[in-house]
Amino acid sequence: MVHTRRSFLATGGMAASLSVLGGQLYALAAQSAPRMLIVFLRGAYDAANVVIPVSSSFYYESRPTLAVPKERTMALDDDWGLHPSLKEPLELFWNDKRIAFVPFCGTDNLSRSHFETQDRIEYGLAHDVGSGPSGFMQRIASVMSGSKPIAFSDRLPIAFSGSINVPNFTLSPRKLAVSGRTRDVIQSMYEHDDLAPVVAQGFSVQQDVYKAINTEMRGANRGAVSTKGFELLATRVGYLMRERFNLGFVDIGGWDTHVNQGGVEGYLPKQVGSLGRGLAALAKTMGPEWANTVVIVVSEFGRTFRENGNRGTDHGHGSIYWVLGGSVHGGRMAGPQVEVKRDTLFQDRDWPVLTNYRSLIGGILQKGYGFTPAQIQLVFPSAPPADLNLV
Amino acid sequence: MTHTRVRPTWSLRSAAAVLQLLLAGLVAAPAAHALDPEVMALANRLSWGGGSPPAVSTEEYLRDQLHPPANDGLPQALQDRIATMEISRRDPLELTAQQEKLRKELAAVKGKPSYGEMHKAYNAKIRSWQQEASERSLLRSVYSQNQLKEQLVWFWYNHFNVHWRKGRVQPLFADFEESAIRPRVLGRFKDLLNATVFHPAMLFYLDNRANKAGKINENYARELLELHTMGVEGGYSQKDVQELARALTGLAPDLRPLGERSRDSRELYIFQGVRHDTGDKVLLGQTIKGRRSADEVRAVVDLIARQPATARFISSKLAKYFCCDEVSSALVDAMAETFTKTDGDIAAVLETLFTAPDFRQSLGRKFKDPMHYVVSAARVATGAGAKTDPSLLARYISQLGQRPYDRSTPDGYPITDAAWSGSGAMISRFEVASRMSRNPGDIRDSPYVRAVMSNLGPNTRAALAGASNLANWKTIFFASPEFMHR
Repeated sequence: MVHTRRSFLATGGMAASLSVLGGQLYALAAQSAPRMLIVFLRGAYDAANVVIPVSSSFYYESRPTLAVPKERTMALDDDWGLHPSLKEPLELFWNDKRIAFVPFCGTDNLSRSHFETQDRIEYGLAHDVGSGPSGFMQRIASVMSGSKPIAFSDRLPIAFSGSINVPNFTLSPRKLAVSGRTRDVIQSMYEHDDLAPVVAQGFSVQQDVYKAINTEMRGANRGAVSTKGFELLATRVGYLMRERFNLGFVDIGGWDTHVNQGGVEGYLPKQVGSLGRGLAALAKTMGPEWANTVVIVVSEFGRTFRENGNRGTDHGHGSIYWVLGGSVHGGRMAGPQVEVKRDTLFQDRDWPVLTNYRSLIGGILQKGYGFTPAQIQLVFPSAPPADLNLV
Repeated sequence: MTHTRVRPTWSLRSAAAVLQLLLAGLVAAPAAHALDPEVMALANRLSWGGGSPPAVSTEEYLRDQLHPPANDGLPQALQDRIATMEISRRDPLELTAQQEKLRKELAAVKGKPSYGEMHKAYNAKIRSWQQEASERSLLRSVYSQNQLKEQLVWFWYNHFNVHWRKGRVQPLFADFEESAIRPRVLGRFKDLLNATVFHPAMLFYLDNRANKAGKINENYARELLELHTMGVEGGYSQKDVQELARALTGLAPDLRPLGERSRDSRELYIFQGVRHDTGDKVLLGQTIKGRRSADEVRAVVDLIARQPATARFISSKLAKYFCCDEVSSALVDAMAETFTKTDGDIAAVLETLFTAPDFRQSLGRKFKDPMHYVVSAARVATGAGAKTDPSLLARYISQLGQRPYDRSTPDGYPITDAAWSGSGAMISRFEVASRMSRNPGDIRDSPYVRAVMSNLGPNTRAALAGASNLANWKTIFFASPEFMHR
């Protein structure tokens, strides 16, 4: 049987997209639609030093300079502890059971290549198919009724590629290159052009986002808002996911820690602390909509279980994904697990993958978003959804 | 997304009308170098765009582009600049050996304090090869007279895509473009295909090194059928994929330094008979005699290249890139017929395309991908006397999502209009327009702008008339819908 890389979009996708663009760009329905946000950590974050297998002596043997002592971690359960940088931002989530960690999670791809594996994840297709005309977020958008997708990035990620025009917008606080009068002049040139709706959408998303991050943010939040890095970005994401969009994708780089990654303190701890504070800020900003939101933190793969000779780690396989949200059944390590020791390593170097990301997300779509089995198949072909009881 | 654009005001009909009037002597003959709108429209498509109106007839222009001279017409300074690049003057065997040496040196200092610095230096060296390749191809794209050829170098590299970042590919992809692709872009398709099959960059990229008798790796065989020749609807079966994979066993890169070779051969591939599956294969209904020689590979490649599905798939891809997203099956049929009749002569197939009514209808309506957008803008600026900075061009193209050599999957960058005209993409494009406007050059002086000014739509002309200064004028011009199309 020849595998065909068919278009996975619902029929009439183009017409549907124009109606999505046309009327309801800004006002979400009065009743709260469920939100989903994928946070992609690009560079393969070192899961083993963030959600730490504290009951494993093999962990401490494998990482003589990097291992985080058990007493420094925030206890999750008997076997796992959370990196101290995440205690302050995430402790409440854990205690309220609104965050779960899915260890031994990842893909079938064994290239250990950032680019290849990231792309494969974003296409969301079966291992031997690889790439196609659309990404999985695009397919979710085509199935989810009333979806208002947004990619918070410079360029449209592969996950959102396809024939529905999904807007992308970066939230980094640089001045708009094209604004005000020039924007109006440019738009006037497209008045009678076929590209008019697309240009209009681009500018209105740009304006909307810019206004949101510059005016409504000031003073609108209860409590202090950090002015730095991902925390600021995440607050903006939260605001926009509350007000304007319900299906989002944001990526963060800087996780490829081959050298001097840090144990209790250092580079990775700082990065992950910033991530944690960002997620907390996002949740806070979403306010009542947090109860309707699921955030899934993913990465292309984990890293080698043993540290390398440069106080860092190299490309691995199994990772730990995070699932958090106002109605998530959290406060636990979810999914199939094995004891962390040398025998259970994959190829004697990495963590195994016991939960495929497609089954993880598919399962959440099924239970939390009411997707039918046929719809799950459309989004993630040949991937049976896994019910980890997360939603 | 189909474009039902306002027709450009020039057309065959108006050109014919002018001609009639001329012949009737009722209109004074126009000045010697007056713009021929037809050849301008053709040039905007057969070139990267933004260039001076050709001073020849459409027939001559078409002929020159389809059968270009060996000389690309680059200024001497540019030829020298390209010639001194490492990727131009050093053999890929040398580059591979250097990469190997640097990796060994790096491994030797693992765990030592000097590792960090050496790692940085290693990365910088590898990246410099990509920067050179990118500069070389962008300079040629901007300055070469053989514009169709340069577009085809991009098109065929993209068709036979290899990702520059894959470890073993890094010292080889520039040579892949230069020696496998570039000399064959307007020749016979099967010669081009063959050259890619035997190039180590492809054999590494699609893992044919791992493909051996008894332990088949289908990756290359599958992509060869699906992406390079027959297309996913081409009618081959999974069994065909396996049989092709069997035929390709034993074909591997050979990058040993010259001194280590037993033969004096400088071939960059090796056919390892002992790793080859020598049984007969049944591929696409034909029995291919198994043999312990690369001739078997040539035989299967030949068989695949001759398939009607290959003629159709390649024809339709060329039509998508040079004409329109939705190609009529009549046009594909005509091109495929030429393909078959001429044994896959790419220039002949393109001539069928470029003389088709559908093609003429499409002129001025094709949405530019990032490469066309940025390169055409650069050519407008050089037409006004400005110099081109290829590293800046590469940066703009990357910002718009089409960084040279950086497509990680074998399918290459998408070639349809729809892939590049999303809302976020348009905003990025306007931002790039704004950045380009700050580069030197009064583009109002360029032959291109002078040629197209009177044919711009009223909204665009009004917008330009209201520009506050030169930079603003340039931003508006580069952001106009007319400039987004070719």
